[in-house]
Parts: sequence; structure tokens; C-alpha cells
Amino acid sequence: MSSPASILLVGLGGAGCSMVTRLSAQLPAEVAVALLDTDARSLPAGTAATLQLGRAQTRGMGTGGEAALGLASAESEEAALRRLFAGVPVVVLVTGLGGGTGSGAASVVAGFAAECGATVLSFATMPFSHEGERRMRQANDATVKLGQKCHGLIVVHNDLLLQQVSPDAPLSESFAAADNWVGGALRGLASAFAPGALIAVDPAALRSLLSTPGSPTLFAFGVGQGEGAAMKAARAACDCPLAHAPGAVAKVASLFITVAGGSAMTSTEAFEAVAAVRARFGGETSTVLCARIEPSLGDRIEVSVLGASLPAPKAPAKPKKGAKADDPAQPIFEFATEESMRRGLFGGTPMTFIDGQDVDVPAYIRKAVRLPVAP
Amino acid sequence: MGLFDNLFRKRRDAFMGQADRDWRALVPQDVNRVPEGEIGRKRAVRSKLPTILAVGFFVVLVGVLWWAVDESVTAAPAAGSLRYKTDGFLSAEFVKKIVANGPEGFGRDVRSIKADLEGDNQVVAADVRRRGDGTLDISLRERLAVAKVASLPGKGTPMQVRLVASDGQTFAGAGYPEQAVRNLPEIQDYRATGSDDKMMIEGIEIAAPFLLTVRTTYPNLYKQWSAVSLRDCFGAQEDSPSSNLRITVRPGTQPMDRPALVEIVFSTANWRNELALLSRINVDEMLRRPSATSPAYVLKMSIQNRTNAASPVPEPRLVPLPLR
Amino acid sequence: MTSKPLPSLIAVIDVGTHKTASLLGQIIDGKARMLSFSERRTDGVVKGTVTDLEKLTQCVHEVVNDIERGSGRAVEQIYLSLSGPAAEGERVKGFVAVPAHDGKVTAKDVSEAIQSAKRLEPPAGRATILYMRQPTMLDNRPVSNPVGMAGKRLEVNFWRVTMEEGNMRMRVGMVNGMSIKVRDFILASHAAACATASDADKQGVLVVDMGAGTTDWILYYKEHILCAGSIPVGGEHLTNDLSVALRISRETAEDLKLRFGSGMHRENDVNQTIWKDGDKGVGDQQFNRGTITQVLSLRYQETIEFVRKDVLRRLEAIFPGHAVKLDQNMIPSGVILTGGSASLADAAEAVQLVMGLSARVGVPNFENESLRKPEYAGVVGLMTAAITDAPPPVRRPRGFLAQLKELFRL
Repeated sequence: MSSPASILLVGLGGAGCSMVTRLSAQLPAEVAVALLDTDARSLPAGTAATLQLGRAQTRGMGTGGEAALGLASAESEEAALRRLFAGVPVVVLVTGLGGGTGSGAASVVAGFAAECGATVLSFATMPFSHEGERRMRQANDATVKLGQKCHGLIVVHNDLLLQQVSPDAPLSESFAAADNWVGGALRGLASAFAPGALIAVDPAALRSLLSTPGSPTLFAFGVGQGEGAAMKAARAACDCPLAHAPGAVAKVASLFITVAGGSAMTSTEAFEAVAAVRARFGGETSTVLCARIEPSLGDRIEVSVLGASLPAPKAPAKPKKGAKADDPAQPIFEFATEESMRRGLFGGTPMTFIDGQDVDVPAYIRKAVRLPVAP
Repeated sequence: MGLFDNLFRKRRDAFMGQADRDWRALVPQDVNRVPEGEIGRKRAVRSKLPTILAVGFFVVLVGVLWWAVDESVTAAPAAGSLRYKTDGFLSAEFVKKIVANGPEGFGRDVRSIKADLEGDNQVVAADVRRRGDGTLDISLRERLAVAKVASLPGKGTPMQVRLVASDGQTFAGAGYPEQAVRNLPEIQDYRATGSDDKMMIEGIEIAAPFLLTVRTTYPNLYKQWSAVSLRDCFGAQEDSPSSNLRITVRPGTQPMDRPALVEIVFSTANWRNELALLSRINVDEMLRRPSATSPAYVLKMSIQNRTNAASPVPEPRLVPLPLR
Repeated sequence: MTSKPLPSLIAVIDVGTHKTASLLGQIIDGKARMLSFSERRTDGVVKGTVTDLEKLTQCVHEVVNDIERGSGRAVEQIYLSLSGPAAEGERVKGFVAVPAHDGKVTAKDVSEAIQSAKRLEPPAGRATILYMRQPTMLDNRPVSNPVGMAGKRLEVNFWRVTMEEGNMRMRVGMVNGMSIKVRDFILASHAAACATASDADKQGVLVVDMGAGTTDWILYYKEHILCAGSIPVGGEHLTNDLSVALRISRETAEDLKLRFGSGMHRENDVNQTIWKDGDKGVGDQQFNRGTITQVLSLRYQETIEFVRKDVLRRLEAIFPGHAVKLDQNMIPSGVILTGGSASLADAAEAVQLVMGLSARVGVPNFENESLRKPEYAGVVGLMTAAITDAPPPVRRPRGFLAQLKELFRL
């Protein structure tokens, strides 16, 4: 890399690398790409920078689902990773949790990036419900650790992806939905750094939004087309499944909204869209708006929303009478805050697996049943 | 759980098997219901009322008896009579003086009277009771005197005679009749510290018990002794071979037709055995032997007779009195 | 001095995920007469597990105070319900070989067999809570009273319920903190069955008590409990599913579930539109009825399916090697649904579909009209079960001497 780009998109693990490879075709200029994996086969020689993790531990053959091996592999390449992240303002880490490399290495890699002064935003996918209990538990643990290290964490349940496509669509289509979201996010972030915006934004504002590691993060993305495209896009963003996953945050304090449209887009439209988004997602403390004109979009308008709140103040650790004897008081509260963010109502209780499925996840999601569309 | 159960139930540490894991065994519920709220309190009071009354009744009963017997702190009539007895020589006047000492006079409470009485060195224990009608009932136990000491406190002051009790304490001997004092052996050649009640005579801790033993067990001997010299008595080193008690025998107690026995020497280490020995030997017969030619003799109760160099045997021997 | 015994007081408390209910009653002529009842929303319990002990203790204290105030009596002993996955049950057996010389079973043999059954160690870290009698087998034939019968091998069976020691201490400690003793624990599913199933039903019935946090079930055969279990899925999951699917708050979801929910999804539902507030005013939302029924029926039927699988699993553990089937022959009275979530529309029909047995919603049999709802089956059943299984000691008015003794705890 000649000069460090503004945004570094990092794919970690098999799933992460394939998504990044698919996206790399249509990325904005400000985004550079890097691929990390233990399995040498996902690191094709190409224009993207690649780094093979854990050469000694795995010998290029992957971790076989062992998170501990993934962790060791990442730690063994500490120097190279730090060089990779040096001087980069924003790192977007994309990874699939549940396997070995993703679950084990994600928090380590995010930690290195954060220590090198980058703002780290992670997209992590959770395995399908029918992939079994072990992967789900590994993914759950990895989410906790990752959430503590990166400044923004967005969890994508693979089950949700199945919801987005018709029942008889090929599997590749369901992954396309996830690609859309991540691509949209990248475009939204990049627009903060690119010159020539209709309403410009200081990249520092973006970074200050995502300044606290472990804060609950909201992400939504919507696209609208044709007449009233802006409002359609806003509504689509409000209804985005990512914002409605079980345990996702409903309202946040600070929002970063990017509206991108073709040459016909007006600032009035942009503001209308923003108002709709704010009504839905909050943003009372601060809302930062960036609007861009992209001629390539034509009459489509894209709205991407990134939001964060400061983490809930941790209650002072009080020893609880009768609480499970081996849990020290402090981690109960920390864990509970994280847990209740992700698991919603059932945070704080042990995960229940029946026949390998996490029964707290709604039945219709696990069975991949498409719901009748609302009128 | 009753007392019986508490004593005889199986101990928790003895493995009782499955019963051990029963929830009732693991959590003994020792709760005492603290009544909350009006209803609870009313119920508690109602159910416990007879018990409270009974306990109250007993308390009142005991209190009445207590008051009737004695120990009441209420003021008694100032001019009350005194019933007094003692096993020693203290007079009733002496006691009355002590009793009436203080602002309340006769009416003061028994505890302070008792304290005052026992403060006197001559009194070992005082039993003071006040009867319901104000009469004081006092009985004293006094120290028994086994010897007397004469001391000159200083120039110009008259000689003081104090009595020595069997525990070594000296006391003034108030009330002692002359005759009793005269018959007591005198302690001579003593080293003492302190004066009056606090006089500490070196070696008294050996001499006093010795005299008490003699007085009680061999009264005939006791009557014949007039003095005990502590010249060679080393209080702290009673076991040292030359530490001894020298008893001066009263001249008037001896028959005239034989040499006189002037002194008896006991060793401080072994005086009990020597006393026993003395009571068995016939000193008179020894003194009438033809070999007794000297006019006066000293009886040494413990001469180490070395018939066998390895094992010296103590035996008494009459030694002629060295001319001084 | 003996005198006529006073009617005994029974206090029971059912701590559930959604509500905590408590009943105080008197036993008159062998039946319970209610003195007071109290109920509050439970704070601090999710999915049947305690998440916040302080809040829960507070809630329980308040409930007990309420029933005391309501009846004017002080509670000294209370029965607790035991529900959820915390209570693990399993079958324990005790054998005794009947002495050969006369070949007849004596009472002593029976008690020896009972002893040997009760001597088995529970798993590590767990405390034994309950033993529930199961049919006695004499030479592998079930008999109701073996004493006096001839046979070689006597086997007594119990359904033993154990609980994690820490969990048990926490619950007992919570009650002791109010200076009340725990008289006994009662299995919640058994309690629900005592309230809703008659003795005739208990020849063969599966009672499913679906509350807010957990679903407890119990299977009776020939009037004895055969096995019991619990699934940690309940009404809360139904509400949560709906809230996620429709992107609405939990309160709204709860409301919609009660009004429009169903255990069955019918083709016609997708054509119906519902308004949340019903007045089509500002802030109102439209929903497709089909979405609601689809989401709820999926979750409900899945939960019943979990129950069915659990029952089969346990039956296989009890009768290893035999192919077990749940059918109307074995369970003539079918399924009795009870608990708060049994109020869901078409619930019985859904159960019939999934289990293949007849199903009906069971309502507790109680003198007091207001408690004849499935959600109170737990607490009413506790009282019924307490009277039958572990009646409180008979109270006599105490004489003076006895009171004195009590004072000195002799």
C-alpha cells in the first residue's frame, strides 16, 4: 500500500474473506482491502493485501473450528498485523463467528487495530441455528470478547438472512443480502472521508461517535427508488432487520446518517429522510448528517445509519446475597449489560439449547419461515 | 430441639449417608418469628401473656423473700443492738468502734462494715448480716498468733509488741490477754523490712508454720519454748545446710537434777521430720547419762553422721553449750 | 392436656416468572377454605431462573405481608412450589428379597425397601427435595398394597426430585429471612395436576402447565406419577417472538398476543388486518393477523413438540429397550393444559395436532370463583397437594406448662 487509505476493510476467516472478496469489486476509492486467514486457500494472490495467520500453528490448513487455535494464530502474527493497521483511521472488520479463525482471532485482531489508534467497526455473523450448539456457544463467547475490544459491533444473524430471500432462492442470494448491508455501510462510512459531498462531515465526528469500546451499536441500511425515493429508503432503513434482530438496540443517543443519491436528489429530500430515521432511532444527543451525490446511483437513494450510545453506567459492584457463589460481583454487571444488549429479554440467564438450537431465538427465525408481508 | 435431642442426636460430621443430602438436613431452619405489623404483635402478646405473668410472679416472689431475709439497703434504726462472736480475742467494743465509724454510723450498709473489719490485720474473715429489725449479726474469724515480736520502732518510742500469725502477718493483738501474750514464744534476732502491719520478717514464712505445727501437734513442747532465734535462718535459702531455727527452752520447765537443755536446733529444710523425731526420743534420759557432764546442753536435731562416707545419716546429738 | 384441635393454617406461595401468588387457607373437614389471597408481578425472575435475588425477595415479602394483613393471621410455615429446570427428577428404586421361609411380604420388608431406595446418593452438589411414591412392584407386577401378598422380590419406586444445593439454600434462605419456615417443597407440575385433574383422570393423563417462563409437565399412570419434567420455554418466548417479528414493544406484543394470538395458523388469517389501538388514530399501527398467528403458532407448537420429545425421552429412560409411544391407550385422559399460557386461543387444538392425544384446558377446582382460571392452577394446586401429601401438624391450644416449655425451648 502506497499511502494508508482512510478505511481498511479487513476480512477475517473463511466467511469474512469471501464476503470481502465479493465486495472488493465495487468499493469506493477510499477503502483498502486486506484478507486474513489461517487457511491459505482463501487468500488468493491478487491486488488485495493478504496475511496468512498462524503459519506455524496451522500450516495453512485452517483451525478446524478450534477458537483457541485461531487465537494463537492471530497472536503469532502480532507484528505484521500492527504494521497493517499503522496509521489507518478506520478499520472495518468483517468476520463469521462460530468457526475457529473468526471466533478465536477476531477480538485479538480488533484489539491490535484499536491499540494502533484506529476506530474499529466490526460486522460479525452468527451461525445458522441449525449449525448446532457448539458453534453457537463459541460464537456467543466470541461476541462478548469482540464487543469489548472494538468501538462498534454489529451482529448479523445468519438466520435473518434466510428471511430476506424467497424460500426457493439459491443460497448465494441470501448471502447477497448481507453483502448489501456491509457494502452499504462501507459506502456510508467512506463518504465521510471522500471529498465533494453535498453536506460534508468531518471524519473526526464519525470517529468520536464510535469512541467507546463496548458501546451498543446500531446499524441500518435502506434503499429506495423512483418517486419519493428518499422516504422509501428511510422507511426501508427503519424496517431493516439488522435493527430488529433479537436483542438489537432500539434507540441510540448519537446517529451518523449518510444519504446518497443521484444528481436529482435535493437536500430537502435528504432532510426528510433524516427526520424519519431520527424519529425511529433516536439520536437526541447528536445527529451527524452526510449527503452525497453519486451520479452512478441514478434515481436510487441509499440511506445508511450508524448509531451508538455510551454504554449503560455500570452499577457499583455489590455482593448479592445468595447469588451463584462462584461469580464475582463485578463481572455479573458487565456481562449483564452486554448480554441484555444482545439477547434482549433473556440476557442474564443461561443459554438453553434443545436439540442443538438456541431456543431463545424466535421460532420463526430458526425455522426460516417467511412471514406474511405487512399491508 | 430439646436438650435431650441436642445431646444425643447424631453428630453432623458422622456421615449419615443419604440423609445428609436431604434438604432439611442441609438447612436447619432456626427461625424465631419476629412479629411484624399490628396483627403479628397482638398475637404474640396474647399467646405469651400467661407465660409473662408467671415469670413476673416468680420474680416478685423472689424479691419479697430477698428483702425479708436481709441485704436491704434501706436505712436501719441508728441505735441497734449488736450480736457478736469471734474465735479469737477481739472485744465487742473494738468491733463497735469500727462499725460506728463513718457518717451513717450504725446504720451503714453491711458491705462497708465487713470491709472495714477485714481491713484489720487481726481479722481473717468477717461475716456481717443485718436482720430485719436492724440488729447486726457479726461473727469474726481471727488470726491465730503463734509468736510475738518485740520491736523498737525508733528512738524515744516505747517498745512495741506485735503478734505473728501463722501466715507470717503481724498484727497488733488488740484484746489479747496478758497471759496469752506472755506464753507466746518470742522471735529474736530477726531481720525485718517495713513496720507495723507491713512488717516482713525474713524467714517468717518458715518459722510461722513451724510454730503453728508445733503448737497444734506438740503442745507440750510448745509450752516449753520461750524464743525462736532466726539468726541462722536464711529465708530464701532454707535448704542450705547451715540454715536453722534455734529454739530457746524456758529455764523453768527443766528439772534441776540434771544438766539443763538450753537450746534446740532444727534445720529449716527438714524440721517436720525432726519434730517427729524429737517427740520420740527421751531427752531427759539422754541428759541423765553418766557421760553428760556439762551443765548445759544444746540439742542439735540434725548432725550429719558420716558412718558411711557416701551416705550421711542425720541424727540428733547433744552438744555441750559452748561457754560464751 | 388435650383439647379439640384447632383448624390448621396452610400458607402456600407460588413464585413464577410472571407473577407470584400466595394463598392462606384453613383446613376444615379435610378441605381447604381460603382466608386470603395475594398476587404480585414477579421482579427478578427470567425463564424460571433467578436473575435478581434482592428484587425477588422484596416481592415475596410483600406478597406474604399482603396475605397476613388480609387474613389477620401471622404465617409461621409456608409451602414452596418447585418448578423449572432447576428441579431435576429421576426414578430411584429400592429392592428387597422377601425372606423365603414364609414368602409373604411384611410391612417391615416394605419399609426396608423404602430405606434402600432412599439411600441412593443424589448427584454431586445436589440436595434431595422430594420423594413421590410410584407403584410398588412385586415380582415385576405392579401392586397397590403388597403387605400380606406372596412373592419373591419387592421393588419400591420413587420419583426423586433434586435441586442444586445453592439454589435450594437461596430459596429457603429467602423465606427464612422473613422468619418463616419452609414446611415443604411441592413439585409445581404435580400441584397443577392436583388442581385440575380428578382422580379418575390420574389413571392416565399428561398435565402441561405452561407459565410465563417455563413449561412443566407431569405424566400420571394408574394414579401415581410416572415421570415429570420441565422445558425452559414459556409465554415470555411467545411475546418476545411477536415483538421481534412485528418490531413492536413487548407490552404491545403482549396485548396483541392476548387479543389476537392463536395456537393455530389458518390460511384465512393473512387476509385480516388488525389495528393495534383499534381507533385508527395517530400512532396506530396495522398488522396482518396472519403474521401474528404464524409467529405464535410456530412457537407454541414447537414448545409442545419439545414437551412431547421430553416425555418420550424420559419414558425411554424408565423402560429401557421398549419402544414407547404416546397414545390414547396409555394416556386415556389425554393432555390437560393449564397455566397462564393455556389461555391462548386454540391452544388445545394445537396440542392435539402435535401430540396426537386429546387435549383440553384445565381449570382449577376451587370454591372461590375468582381463582378458577388456568393461571392460578399452580397456587390452588399447591394447597390441595399440601393437604394431601404433607399436611401441617395439628395445632392444639397450648397449656401453661407447654408455653413455659416453649419459652425455655425445652
